[in-house]
Amino acid sequence: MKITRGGYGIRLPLVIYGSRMNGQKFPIVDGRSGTDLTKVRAQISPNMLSCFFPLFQQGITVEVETGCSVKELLCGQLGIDHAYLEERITTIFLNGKPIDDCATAVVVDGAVLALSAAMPGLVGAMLRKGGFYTAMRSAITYRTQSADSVRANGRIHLKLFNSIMGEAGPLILRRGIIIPRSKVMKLLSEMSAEILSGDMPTNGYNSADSDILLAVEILAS
Amino acid sequence: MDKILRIDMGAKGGPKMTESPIGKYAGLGGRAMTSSIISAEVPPLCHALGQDNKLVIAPGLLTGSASVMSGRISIGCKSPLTGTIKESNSGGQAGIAMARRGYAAIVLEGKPEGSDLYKIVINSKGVSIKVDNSLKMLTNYDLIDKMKGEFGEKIACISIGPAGEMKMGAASIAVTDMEVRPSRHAGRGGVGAVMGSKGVKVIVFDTTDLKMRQPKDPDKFREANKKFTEGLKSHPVTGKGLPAYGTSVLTNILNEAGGYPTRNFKTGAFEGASAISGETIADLETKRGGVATHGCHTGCVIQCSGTYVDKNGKFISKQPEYETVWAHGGNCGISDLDAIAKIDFLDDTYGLDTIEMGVAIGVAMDAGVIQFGDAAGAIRLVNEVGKGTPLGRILGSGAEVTGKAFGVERIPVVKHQSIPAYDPRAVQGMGVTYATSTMGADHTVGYAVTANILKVGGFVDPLKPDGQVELSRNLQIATAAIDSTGMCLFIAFAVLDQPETFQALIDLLNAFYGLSLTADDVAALGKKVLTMERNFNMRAGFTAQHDRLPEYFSKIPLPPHNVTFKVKDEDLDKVFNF
Repeated sequence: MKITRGGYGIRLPLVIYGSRMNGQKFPIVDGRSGTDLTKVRAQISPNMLSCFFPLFQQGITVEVETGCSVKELLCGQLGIDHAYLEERITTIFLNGKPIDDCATAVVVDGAVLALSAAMPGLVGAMLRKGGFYTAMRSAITYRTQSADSVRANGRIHLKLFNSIMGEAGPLILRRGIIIPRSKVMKLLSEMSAEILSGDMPTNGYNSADSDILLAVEILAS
Repeated sequence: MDKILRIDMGAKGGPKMTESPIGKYAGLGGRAMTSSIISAEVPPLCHALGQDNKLVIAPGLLTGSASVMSGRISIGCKSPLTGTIKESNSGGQAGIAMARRGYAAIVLEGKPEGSDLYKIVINSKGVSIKVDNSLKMLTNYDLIDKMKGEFGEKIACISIGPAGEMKMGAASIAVTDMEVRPSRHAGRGGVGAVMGSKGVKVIVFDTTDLKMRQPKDPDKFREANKKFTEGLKSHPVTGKGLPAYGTSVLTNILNEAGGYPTRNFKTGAFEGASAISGETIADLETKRGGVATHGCHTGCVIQCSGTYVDKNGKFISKQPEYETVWAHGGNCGISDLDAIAKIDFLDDTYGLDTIEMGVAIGVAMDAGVIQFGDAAGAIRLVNEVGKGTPLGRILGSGAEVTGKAFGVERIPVVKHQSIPAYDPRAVQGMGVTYATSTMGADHTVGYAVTANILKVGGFVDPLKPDGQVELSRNLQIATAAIDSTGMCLFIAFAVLDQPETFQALIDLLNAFYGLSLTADDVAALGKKVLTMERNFNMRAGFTAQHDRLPEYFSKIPLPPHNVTFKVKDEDLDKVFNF
């Protein structure tokens, strides 16, 4: 089945193929997909990446193995380079609390993890991980709970801010994000003249806002 | 920069000007200069709008030189808002022009009888001061257009809008930027009201024949400037974050930390934060044909400002900065960027501190004057301030007066000045600075270079429970010193992390003046400034009991972390133990 532009009420050069992604490599947690979600793959040009920026700021859902450290999740599962984590992602929040040690902060199912580069001002310095001014925000500092480290498949809400959006965003998108169908539609409508392929049934869905697993490749510029 | 211009606005027969050598104030600039003169010459118990108060305008030590980032100008007086000593500083071009005309300070003294309004013009021929009542109640933008018509485009101006003429507690002093727009402001503490009380509407500097100030040792100065610039450009904050997104890049992370004061400090998270973030502003400006990366004065290499335009590409305002977007945005439950930019323009043109106005409107919203989130209503209220209606007069007097007028318990002020965009319950170290600052609640006074470089007051263990008190102390000392150089405080981010960049700053000062300052000397200057300011405040009647946050910060938990301010009073009293 081939759906052409306008097939979902949006005016796009949209090409979607009707088969499941059998045999296709789809990098969800090292092959542990286990999801029944509808999967969509898309390719966009680099200048379309900014269409995802509002979503990155509000947060995207990703499937991961929870019960591990922030460091393991970011580097081991999401594929972020260790040096990049150390040097560039200097400000990290776990459930709204600034963390100081990525190796000991544990991510549980349903957690909200936010990643930022170094921020200006005294407050920016205070909120940095392991910085000199951590005492000045000790009231909200993340502290590890001993019962956190139970390994399981789960979902977390990942927020990307400032330069991290453009730098780490493509990696996260390639791996796949879970978002409601309505948001996919909105995003696709913003990404004109790009090809989208994947698996998106045209009928049989009762919920207009059911979740979709969207993986996006950024074309070379 | 070796002379001081004094203008006695209350002299018999009209204003009387005198120029004198810098004398005992030699070696001082910026905040060190303004606080030294105010401390020595203004009776602390005088009325801030009376004849005994003085308005001191002083460029920094390096302002007007080839040093990057050195264009700041300090404006000091006894504050009509706080009753304390006040230094409020600004970017823009006037500091550079003033320094290159050789003035280390301009001091407006006395008080004129009658209601005439004066215009001061400074050019290569000297200084003139004339009555110009055609300027009365002109907004800043209309005033500057008129000055450009009269003197051409090559000018830099220091001016007040209607709020300053009406002597409002929230009145600012505007400084024109590189586009000769009155978009940069010494905002805090009602300094505009003091200028208004002196009857001075505008100071116009002719910039046509100005020459750069020359260092004593050009080679060392050039080398230090190069290293300083490289340090700023290589740092992730000053080289990337600020240029790309401006100061509003803080919105998302403060919101994520639960420390973004929302709806008059009721919660620490705003659901509309991403709609008004620096990331969103920059993206919108770029798509609409505005400018997302721009400096506020010549020699700025950080370029954290920009130009905000509407959907048709028409100028609305300069890029509103973080505190402005917060004060008129999240603090008022407003997530409409165009409305916030419009309010920023209105604040600039009426001559109002965006923080004081945003907090005052938030308090008014809390009282039910208008509803939280009512952007059109907020614009209407700022226009009432500009017109001087009875309601506008209340709002323009600041958040505390507004809260008292409408019977609001939660009035977020310290020493009568509005608390800025970081809730002190979530970020308690900032609360220590708000409480103890010599200026009233101010986020910039404890902002600059760090104790681990300066080691002022000895090394601080940041993990100790009282670490935040010691850190606040050291930061306030260091900031007082940096505010005296004329450097933009945003250099702090690079200096904070890169000792070699801090050394380059000291090298700049040494090469320019032929000195051999060390970090200890810089710290000593900061302590001296703070001591003068504290002493002035004590003589003005301020005690330890004024170094406190409003009671509700200790009693009412702040969602989402449900924290209260827990720093003990006795610890706050230790901040100035140096």
